[in-house]
Amino acid sequence: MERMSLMNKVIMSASNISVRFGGLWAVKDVNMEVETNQVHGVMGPNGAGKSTFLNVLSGLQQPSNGYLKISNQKIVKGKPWKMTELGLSRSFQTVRLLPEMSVLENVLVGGHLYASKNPLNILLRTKKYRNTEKVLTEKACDLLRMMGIEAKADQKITGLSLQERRRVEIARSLMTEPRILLLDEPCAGLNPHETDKIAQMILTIKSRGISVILVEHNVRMILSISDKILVLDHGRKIAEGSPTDITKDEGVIKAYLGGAAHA
Amino acid sequence: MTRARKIYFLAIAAICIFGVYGSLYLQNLYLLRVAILAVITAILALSVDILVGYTGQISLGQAGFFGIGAYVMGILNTNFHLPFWISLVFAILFTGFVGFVLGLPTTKLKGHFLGIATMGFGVIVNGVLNNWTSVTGGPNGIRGIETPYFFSISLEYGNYFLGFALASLFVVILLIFLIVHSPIGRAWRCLRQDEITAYVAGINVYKYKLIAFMLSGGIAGYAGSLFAGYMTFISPETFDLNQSISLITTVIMGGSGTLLGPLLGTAILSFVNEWLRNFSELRLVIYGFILVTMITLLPEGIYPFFKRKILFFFTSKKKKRSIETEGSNGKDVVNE
Repeated sequence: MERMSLMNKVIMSASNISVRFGGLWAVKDVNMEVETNQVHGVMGPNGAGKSTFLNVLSGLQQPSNGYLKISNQKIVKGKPWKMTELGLSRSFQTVRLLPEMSVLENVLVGGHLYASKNPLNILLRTKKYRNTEKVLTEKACDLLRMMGIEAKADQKITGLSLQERRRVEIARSLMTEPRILLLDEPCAGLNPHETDKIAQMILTIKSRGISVILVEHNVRMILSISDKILVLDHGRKIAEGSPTDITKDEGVIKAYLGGAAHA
Repeated sequence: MTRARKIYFLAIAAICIFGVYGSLYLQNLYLLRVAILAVITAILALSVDILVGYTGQISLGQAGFFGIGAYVMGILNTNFHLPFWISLVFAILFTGFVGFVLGLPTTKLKGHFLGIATMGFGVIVNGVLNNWTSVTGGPNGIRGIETPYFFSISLEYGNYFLGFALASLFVVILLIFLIVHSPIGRAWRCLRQDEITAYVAGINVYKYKLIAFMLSGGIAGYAGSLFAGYMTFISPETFDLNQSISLITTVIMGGSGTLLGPLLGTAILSFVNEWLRNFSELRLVIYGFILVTMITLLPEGIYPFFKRKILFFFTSKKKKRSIETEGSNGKDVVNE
């Protein structure tokens, strides 16, 4: 029993997160708790505030109200790089990679926190410096292997397909050694076969002890791999629970199918 | 790969040593003067390249750093009678500090706004140099700056000074090379291409921009000190907006974001500029025409253009085909 409680420790919580753009509450009083070893889905129709919510979690958007807590550290105004230091990493719906760099370098950028940045080490190219660089490069190669794109390590980003780019981006996120990985629509623009592969990969990441917050439009996919789902509509939380609970929830059905549907 | 790299490094080291050695045999005094000024400009161009090329921060006020470096050297050397080398250290530290102070507000700016802010900095420095007469001597400038001794070799002789300037240039190149090919350089290139990516990679964007401003300022200050030591006389008009603009032009024309580009740009522009003296009144017209032509024909810069052409010439046919297809793939998906 004790082991169970250890396994499901809350590592991140968002309390009363609200974001206001002018007169519009893009997100209003949303609470969320992420536990270890969990895929936490976030879904909702277009304009529900999913992306804004994710931006708040990753520090790219300051909340008008509310705060985050990561492993008992309260964060009111999070700088994005601080969030990464705290163990939270994210991907983007439109893949953000660096076009002038190779795949390997793109992943290496994610290792910034662990790189040797001491000027003396850099200028003298000390043994310590060379070792950390070597370890980082090996780690990046390992992650590329895990993503199945190690063959393209030396290529430029421009030669990669969308799916491969997504994988590079996830590899870069994993390079920061996150405890929580935020994936913003990792399957947007992919075909069903590729979607299945990404779903598999998310489960692999989870098995490595990393919690995943997954925002996704593909309902079938999100229902199949999430342990818990949060549903947003018009910036408000309308439901939260296991996938089976969610599919039965009146509010969710109404939000997705409109009107007073009886499914 | 590593062996090829070793040969590459040895070749560059050989070029450096021969360059310094060969500079001792340059007889033509006029050429000597042009070469020394070109080397100082090359150091300045590299300092601009750190900001414009590697970090993607436009700097239209580099002459400000240049001027501060020269004036710190001049004031400490003439008013306080400090030796050249100690003044040099102060000049570098002080311009680095000014870079830091300038960076504090400007790292929050982007694009045109950053351009205006840095340009303002250059104009302010020029204004101060012109008007703070009690310290800077105003438009009359500062006279009688000591030309240094380098271990009992007087650098008053142009040849020795050129050798020293070239050696400094190579040290600056090595310094920039080491930093650019390190996590700091990686962070710079990352934030140049996409700041949000830098954020999520855990890079404190402002801190790295500040480092770039400090380093760029320090190197430009070093160039300023060299300039003061060589000319022994400095006055504000050298450090005006024109200087800043011509520096940034040099860098962009040569190829920003590379080490050889600014050097090539400086070499070409310095000597073209001197050669054009033959045309007296038409000089600036032809100079402008050359600049416009270059930028239109080779927008990426001279060095990247020729590097690409030469590399392409030496790649195998099979690889060429794959590069071509890769290029076309890129065009399809790149618009995100």
